[in-house]
Amino acid sequence: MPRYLIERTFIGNLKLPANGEKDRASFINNNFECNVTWLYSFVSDDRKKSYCIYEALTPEAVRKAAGRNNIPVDRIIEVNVLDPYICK
Amino acid sequence: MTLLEREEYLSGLTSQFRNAVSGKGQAAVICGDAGIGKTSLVETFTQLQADKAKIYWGACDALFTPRPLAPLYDIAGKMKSKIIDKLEQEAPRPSIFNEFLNEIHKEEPNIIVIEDVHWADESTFDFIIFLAKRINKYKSLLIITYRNDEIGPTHPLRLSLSNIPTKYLKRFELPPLSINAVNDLAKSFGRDGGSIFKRTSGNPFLITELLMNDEENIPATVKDLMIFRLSRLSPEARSAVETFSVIPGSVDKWLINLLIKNYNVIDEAVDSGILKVENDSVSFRHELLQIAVEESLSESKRFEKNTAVLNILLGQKNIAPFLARIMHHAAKTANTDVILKYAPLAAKQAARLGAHEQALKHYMTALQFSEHLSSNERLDILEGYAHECYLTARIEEGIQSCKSAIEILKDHHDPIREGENFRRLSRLLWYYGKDKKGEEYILKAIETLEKFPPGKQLAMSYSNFSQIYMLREKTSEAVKWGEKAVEIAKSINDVEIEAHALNNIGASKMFASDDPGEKYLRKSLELSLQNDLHEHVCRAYVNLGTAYMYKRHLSKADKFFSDAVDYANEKDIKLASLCVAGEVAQIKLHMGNWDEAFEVSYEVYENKNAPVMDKLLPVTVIGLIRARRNDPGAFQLLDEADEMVYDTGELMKIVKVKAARAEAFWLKNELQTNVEELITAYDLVKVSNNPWAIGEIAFWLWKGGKLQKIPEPIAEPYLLQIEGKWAEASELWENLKCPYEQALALSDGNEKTMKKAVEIFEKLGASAASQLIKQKMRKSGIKNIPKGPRKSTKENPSGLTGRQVEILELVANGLSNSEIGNKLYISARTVENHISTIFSKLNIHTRTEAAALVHQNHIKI
Repeated sequence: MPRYLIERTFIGNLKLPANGEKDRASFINNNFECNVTWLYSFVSDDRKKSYCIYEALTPEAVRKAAGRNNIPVDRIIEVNVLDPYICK
Repeated sequence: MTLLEREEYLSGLTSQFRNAVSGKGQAAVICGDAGIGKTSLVETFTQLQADKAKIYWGACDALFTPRPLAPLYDIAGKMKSKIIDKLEQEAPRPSIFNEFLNEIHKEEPNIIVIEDVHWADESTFDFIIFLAKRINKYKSLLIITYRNDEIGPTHPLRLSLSNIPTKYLKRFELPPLSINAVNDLAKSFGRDGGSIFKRTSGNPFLITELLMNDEENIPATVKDLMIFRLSRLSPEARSAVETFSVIPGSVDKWLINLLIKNYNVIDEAVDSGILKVENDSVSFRHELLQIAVEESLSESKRFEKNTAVLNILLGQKNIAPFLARIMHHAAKTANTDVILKYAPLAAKQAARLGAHEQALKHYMTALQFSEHLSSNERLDILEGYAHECYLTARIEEGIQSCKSAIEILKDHHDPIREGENFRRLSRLLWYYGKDKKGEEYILKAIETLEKFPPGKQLAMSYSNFSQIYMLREKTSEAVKWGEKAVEIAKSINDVEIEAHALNNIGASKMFASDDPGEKYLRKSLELSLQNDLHEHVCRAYVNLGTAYMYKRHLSKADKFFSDAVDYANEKDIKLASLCVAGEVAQIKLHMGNWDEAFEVSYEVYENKNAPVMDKLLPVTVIGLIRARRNDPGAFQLLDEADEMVYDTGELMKIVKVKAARAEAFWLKNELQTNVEELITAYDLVKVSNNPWAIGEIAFWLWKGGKLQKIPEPIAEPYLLQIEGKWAEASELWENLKCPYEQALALSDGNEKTMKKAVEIFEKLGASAASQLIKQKMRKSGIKNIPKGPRKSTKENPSGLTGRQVEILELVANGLSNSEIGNKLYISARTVENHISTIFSKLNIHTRTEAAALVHQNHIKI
């Protein structure tokens, strides 16, 4: 499955942790329904920007999940893993 | 999996529980078929009440000889009491039951669940009745579940429960899930809800099993369930059930009478939840159960049962109504003689009824055994198969079978038939995206057929030739060959060919913005409807839609396309619904519903059976959406589309692919690198008479600075834009309800309209275009370029900005203006200004109201 890096800009601060169990469950459920998997994210120090790594079949699925979870999408980039140990 | 469509039962149980807590104990009886979700409902309910009540859980076992009082053992085991001891000492029952009541009284309120009572032994019944009759004196809710498909109407449980006052006994019979719920579930697994609903009749257990497993196989759990039930039947009843299992659908009474002697066996199978009786037929409770039984039969038994049914059907006086069923049983027993004799008849009958998938299958079955056929018989089947392949969008198989037919015909000296096969192959090749190859074969057909007096085959070949020109949008040639076809068709009274040719004439005239064209198309539609010419009805709707689509009369086009889809679905013409998808996607794209445009396109894109021709537009639409959103994968798809469109010769598709590519390059600020490609496309388009096709390509050529002179004819919005009349153009686009095109026109204007354009782009999610225009604005020195409606503002129905939401939240938390100012590094006065704006946006007046709104979650933060 392709991997995508999603850049998001939050207005006001990103609330962490997410707003309780119930929200988290619905967040994960929305992802499940859109067939996307949130792997992990980086959040900027001021919590206004996040860079999320997702697995999804299409960029459209990423947008659909974001829409349902009410989180912004600035840019979606398809990425591959490259790290110092498996640098090819 | 979440609980679906059970809200009313949950709330029924909840209100019973509330009564119980207040001292008026209640009993609930939950029944329904196996797998209907009784346990899931009770589990969900008890979880919800877990912190409010003590919960006891007992169940009866599915044993041949049930354990006496099994549920009481389960429950008493959880109690610190002497009940178990008493049970083991076999104390008198009333004393044990009373002891139980004492125990539950100590732990009030409580919920006592006794599951699967249909398997209960006598003493458990007594226990349940005892409890139910007294429960209203305790703060307890008793829940009993059973399968009503395993309890006959005279079962002791039913009689006993009917004696309890309904005031505190409620009965809930759980219905199967609706088709909507099944669709929702299936969708999340990427599966087809319709077929799952059909096979499971909405039974949640079976649905879950099907969704969790490979669709083709019956899950082992279902098989186990069925084998268990079968094992409890008498040998006669079991044999009857096995016989019925080889008969698809329901079994009519007349057939039952010929298959079995004793009707009692049916009652037996009905009582044990395997069969159900409806009007004059008997069927399995679920299709899955039927398949499970059939699969459990040994090979010899299956053969024996099928042969018995087949012989009865063949022995009927009028076998026409049974052709499909005869084919079924003949195929199951590999009865070559019967298959080869009846397959063509069954296929033709199915095709006449509009069941083209079935017709295709009959031909396929026959082809499996075709080595036993004479070449003439084989030819018949190959031709029929090729035609049905065409109608059901199996283009590659169709081409293969057409070629095989032509091969056989080489030794047949039947040029008319040969010509007809050339023609059919030409059409299939066109669908395969090979326009030039298609033309080659249609010329071969015409050449072969013109040597004979004009007839049906020649007329149809002329009409297909006209069709090729119509799609290339060479109007005069299309009309010329179309009229030749009409002339012959009329002289031989062939309505079908007349309708086909009129369609080509009308469509090509309409594409060239020649309005009388619609007259021809409508006549073709009428003829087709009156004469049940399924394929031609669809073609008429589609071409009317396409013509209006060209003119951007979106709602009118949409209507024709949805008529086409409805009709095609009804008559099982896959080809039409597939080819419409790309058009519908385009309409949605124009209207600004990009998510929907994507959904419609993606379905075809993913469909392995979709012919090249039908994939082209969907691929293009997805590519264009990605380019506009700045999403990855745009060029990959647009290149794919370009490769496919190369051989099609269809002007509309060429225009759409080339325009999309030009736009994608433009959005990347690289239109120059695409200009050569665009010029080639323009050379092709400008010789047509289609003002919209010409306009669309000319527009991008103009954007690329390579349009030498304004072409003719050209559609008005494009003309205005090229002439620099962007204001009028944007107004036209707005009237046509094409917001993206409207914004494109506005972006050619002044500072104010550019800002408006950016606003529209942002709203559509067209980030590539909005960035491009902002860049252009910065270059020309425009200040205060809008950042666009910021995401959180858009999502916030109250229209507050991020900063305002931030302040509102602090207000709601009781901070004063100066405290807020300190926190946000702004003056108290600025805070005051923000607050008054916020209040007026929210139409509130006090800080208390603000707090209330926030805490009731009316404002999302």
